[in-house]
Amino acid sequence: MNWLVVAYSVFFIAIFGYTLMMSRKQKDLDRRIEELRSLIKDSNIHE
Amino acid sequence: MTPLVSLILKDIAVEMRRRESVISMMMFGLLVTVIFNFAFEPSGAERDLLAPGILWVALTFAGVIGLNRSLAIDLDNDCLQGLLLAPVSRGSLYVGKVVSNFLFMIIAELVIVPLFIIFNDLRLGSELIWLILVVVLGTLGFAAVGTILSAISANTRMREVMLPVLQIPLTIPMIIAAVAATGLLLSEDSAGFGAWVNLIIGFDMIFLIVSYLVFEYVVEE
Amino acid sequence: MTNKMVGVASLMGMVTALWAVFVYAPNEATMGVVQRIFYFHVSAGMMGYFAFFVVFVSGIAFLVNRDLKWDRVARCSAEIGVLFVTVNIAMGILWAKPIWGIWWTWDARLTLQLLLWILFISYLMLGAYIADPLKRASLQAVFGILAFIDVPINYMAIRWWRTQHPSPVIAGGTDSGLDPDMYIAFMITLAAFMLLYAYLLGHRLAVERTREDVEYFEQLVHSQ
Repeated sequence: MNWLVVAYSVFFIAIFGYTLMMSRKQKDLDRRIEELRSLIKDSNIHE
Repeated sequence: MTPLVSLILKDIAVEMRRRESVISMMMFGLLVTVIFNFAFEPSGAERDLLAPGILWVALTFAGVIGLNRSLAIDLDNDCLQGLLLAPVSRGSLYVGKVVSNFLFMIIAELVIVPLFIIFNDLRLGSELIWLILVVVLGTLGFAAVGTILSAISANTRMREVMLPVLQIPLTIPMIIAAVAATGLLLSEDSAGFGAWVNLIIGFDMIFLIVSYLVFEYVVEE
Repeated sequence: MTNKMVGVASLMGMVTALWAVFVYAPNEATMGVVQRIFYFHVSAGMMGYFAFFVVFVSGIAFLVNRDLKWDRVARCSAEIGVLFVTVNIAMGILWAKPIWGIWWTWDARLTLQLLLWILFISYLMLGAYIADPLKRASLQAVFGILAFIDVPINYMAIRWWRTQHPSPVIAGGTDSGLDPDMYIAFMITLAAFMLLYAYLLGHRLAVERTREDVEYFEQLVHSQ
C-alpha cells in the first residue's frame, strides 16, 4: 500500500516539479527580455 | 576508377602509412579480452556462458576505437572539407567510408577473434564458419552505424567522445543478437540461430539504407 | 491562452484518471492494491514512445522544409519524453519491490524503457554539444530518425532474448487479458496522459520560443 502511495507521489512530484521549473524559467526569460528591450530602446535613442 | 573506389583506396593508403587504426583496435580488443578474464576468472562451464559476451564487448569497444581513429584522421588537416569538394555524391562518400571502416575492423578481428578462441579454449569444428559469419555481419552493422555517427560526432564540441555515447545505444539490439547467436554456436544448440542472424542482417540493411539516404544532411554546409 | 485551457483539461483529466484508478477499477486478484500502479506506469511508458514518435516525425519535417519550428517541437518533445520514461521506470521499480522483492528485473518492458531513456538522453546530449542552431537541428533530426527506427528492432531483439532467458514480468497488464473495468480505467488514464503531454509540450514550446527570443536580443545588444 505504501509503495502505491510513493509511486503516485513520485509521478505527481515529477510532473508538478517540471511544470513549476518551466514556469519559473518562463518568468526569468520574460524578465530578461524586458531588460534587453529597454537596453535596445535606450541605445536607439542615443543614435 | 570510380570516385568511390578512389575514396576507399585513399583511406587504405592513409592507414597503411602508420596503421594506427588497425593496431589500436587489435590492442584494445586483446586488452578487453584479458581484463574480462581477470575480472570474472571463469572456469570451464562458466567460460562457455561468458565467452560470447566477452567477445562482443571486446569487438564493440575495439570498433569504437577504430572509428574514432578514422574520424580523428579525417578531422586533422580538415580532410572532411576536402572530401566534400570532391565530385562525389554524399551517398557514395558514406559508402566509401563504411567500406574502409569495415575493412579495418575485419583486419583487426583477424587477430582478435583467433586470440579469443585460444584464450577461451574453445573447440570449434564447423561452427567456425558460422562464427565468422556472425562476426562479419556484426562488423558490418558497426561500420554502417558508426560511420554516420562519426560524421555526426565530428560536429560536436565533444568530438570523438560523443561517438560511443551515440553508437552503443543504437547498436544494442545488434549486440544482443550477436551475443545470442554466438552463444548458440558455442553451445552447439541451433534453435533460433537463424532468427538472430536474420535480425543482424535486417539491422544492417535498415541502417545502411537509411544512413545512405540521410548522410547528405549530416555533411552539408 | 489555449495552452492554459489544455492545462485545465489536463488537470481535470488527471483527477478523473485518479478516480478511475483508485475508485472505479477493481482490485487485482494476485497482486492486490499495488497493482494499481500499472495504470499510470504503463500510460507513462506509452507516452514516452509517443513523444519519441513526435521527435521522429518532426525531425523528418525539419529536414524536408528547414523550418526551425519543427526542430523546436522535436527537442521539446524529447525532454518531455525523458520525463515520462523516467517516471515509468521509477514506478516500475516501485512496483517490482513489493511484488518481487527486487528493485530491478531485466524483463522485456523495463529493459526496453531503459533503452528508450538512453536513446532520448543521447539525443539531448548531442544537441547540447553543438553550437550552430541549423547544424544542431539537422544532426539531431538525423539521429532522431536513426534512434527511432532502432526502437522496433530493440523490441524484437529484447523479446526474443527474453523468450530465451525468461525473467519475472513486471507489467502483466496489457498482455494478459484485462478485466473490462480495468481496461476502461486504463483508457481513461491514457486519455488523461495524452492531454498532459499536450499541455507540457505547449508549455515547454512557449519557454523555448522565449529563450530563442532572448538569444536573438542578446545578439542584437552585443553587436552594438
